[in-house]
Amino acid sequence: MTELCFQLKGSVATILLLELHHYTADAFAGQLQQKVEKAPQLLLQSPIVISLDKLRDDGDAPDLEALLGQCRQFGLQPIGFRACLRFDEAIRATGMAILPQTSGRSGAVLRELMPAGEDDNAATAQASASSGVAVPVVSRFTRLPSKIVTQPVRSGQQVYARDCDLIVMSHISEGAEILADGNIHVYGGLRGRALAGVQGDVGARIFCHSLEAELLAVAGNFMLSEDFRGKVWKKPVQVCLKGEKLCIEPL
Amino acid sequence: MAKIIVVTSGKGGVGKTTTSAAIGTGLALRGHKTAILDFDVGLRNLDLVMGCERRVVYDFVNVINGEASLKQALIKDKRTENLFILPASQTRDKEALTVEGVGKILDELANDFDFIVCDSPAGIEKGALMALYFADEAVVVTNPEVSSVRDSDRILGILHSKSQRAEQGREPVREHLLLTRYDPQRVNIGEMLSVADVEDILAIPLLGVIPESEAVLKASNQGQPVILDGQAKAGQAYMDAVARLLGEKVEHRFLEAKKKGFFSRVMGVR
Ligand SMILES: Nc1ncnc2c1ncn2[C@@H]1O[C@H](COP(=O)(O)OP(=O)(O)OP(=O)(O)O)[C@@H](O)[C@H]1O
Ligand SMILES: [Mg+2]
Repeated sequence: MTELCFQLKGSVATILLLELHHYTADAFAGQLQQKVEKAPQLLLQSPIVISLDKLRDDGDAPDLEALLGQCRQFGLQPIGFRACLRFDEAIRATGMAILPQTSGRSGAVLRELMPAGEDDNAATAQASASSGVAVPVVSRFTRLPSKIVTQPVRSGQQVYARDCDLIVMSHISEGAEILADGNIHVYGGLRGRALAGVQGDVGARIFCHSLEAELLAVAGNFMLSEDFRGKVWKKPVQVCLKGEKLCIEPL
Repeated sequence: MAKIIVVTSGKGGVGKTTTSAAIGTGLALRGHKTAILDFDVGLRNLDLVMGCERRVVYDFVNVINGEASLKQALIKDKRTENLFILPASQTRDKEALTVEGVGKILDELANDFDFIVCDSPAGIEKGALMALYFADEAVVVTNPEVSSVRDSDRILGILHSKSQRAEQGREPVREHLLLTRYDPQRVNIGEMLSVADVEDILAIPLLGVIPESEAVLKASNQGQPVILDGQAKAGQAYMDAVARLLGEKVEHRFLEAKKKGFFSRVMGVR
């Protein structure tokens, strides 16, 4: 028998998050330097994930290469980015990993690790290399008119309603995927995967005529069909988030 | 202007070529000038099923490359009036098919023919995409089993997004479900999906149900499309499907398992 060389395992690691709010090279360098001087033991050689979720300007991606260079210069080790789809291309060009968005409930532990007095300094903490994402993400979701699909969404197809609700007047096949920044309504069998609030709106809901889904998710919290193949199967339901738990309620 | 019908499925071996041969022949039998085009470059099956493999001189790719004219490459069927076959190449790969090349051939045929039947290769790659790209109508061949239905669903999605009609925002490709190799007895004992199951998943109109039948293999071994076998249920079911394709209302047959009576058991009637 040959010995296994490796084993793949799921794991959860707590990682420092650098949440970028806006970026100009000089201001960033200055603030990062301050941060590192204050808490060198925490920041030096730390792996970090750079989040572009809260980036204020809606334009192009900031100069990511420059950003990465500065982080490394100050002893941080960026391992990847967390960002919405529109930055995918820019991130890929850097060769860094793209991490899925979560509604970000980490941070608490890190806060304790930060040197005392850090929390009082709220303004700078927010503007630079702080982890503080303890507050649930409630950002300004601007909603556009709903996207309406009249045809079935077939296996292999994906429909994404950006910045709006998604209404499908037919069925969603197994192997199909529908996503919306807002709510999802399906007036037919929901047999594929449905993800509402994909940018983190915890108030988003999924409504469907017949629940036969492979996966349901609201703001990154998901359930697989094996979790709801009971009473609600093939029934009209709504799906919403209560705290961190997905709830399925008959309509 | 000819109507272009693609016979497609996603999954392999479900009966596309059998169906292309049958439907093409059926349309010709009903008096419509018809050409059947083999898009399965590299495999070339249609000419065998049609029994004209020995008469293949030029093929689809020769015409695309300008090495032969369409007239030279088209094979006139010996049994059926109004019927022509354009064989696939055995020596090329699917890359030889181009949108421009295929488009030109279809344009040229369109003036002269009533129907063009495109026999698609399996899969969702280049060859299959070429076969469905110019289609006006699609016959989606499906076997009553989960993997075949899933692949048909995929192909329907592709028809909706990648066909020329979809790209140009014209009226969508008209879709027809053709359930083949249907065995009511195996449906009854839960080994196969029922017509209703498949209709429920795919949600497109049912063109026909072709029963599982030994006559199909026998016919293709003889190089005779099964639709010419009026005795076989499969042949009759294909004839019905052709009538429906032409807009006629015909009851569906062969959906229920027949209990064998004493007489048929003794006589061995199928
Ligand atoms: N109704 C039927 N009853 C019994 N056998 C059938 C029936 N239809 C098709 N077959 C058999 O199934 C096999 C595959 O058929 P065919 O070549 O038409 O499929 P195909 O979809 O064109 O395959 P490919 O994907 O390889 O091109 C053949 O052996 C054929 O005889
Ligand atoms: Mg074939």
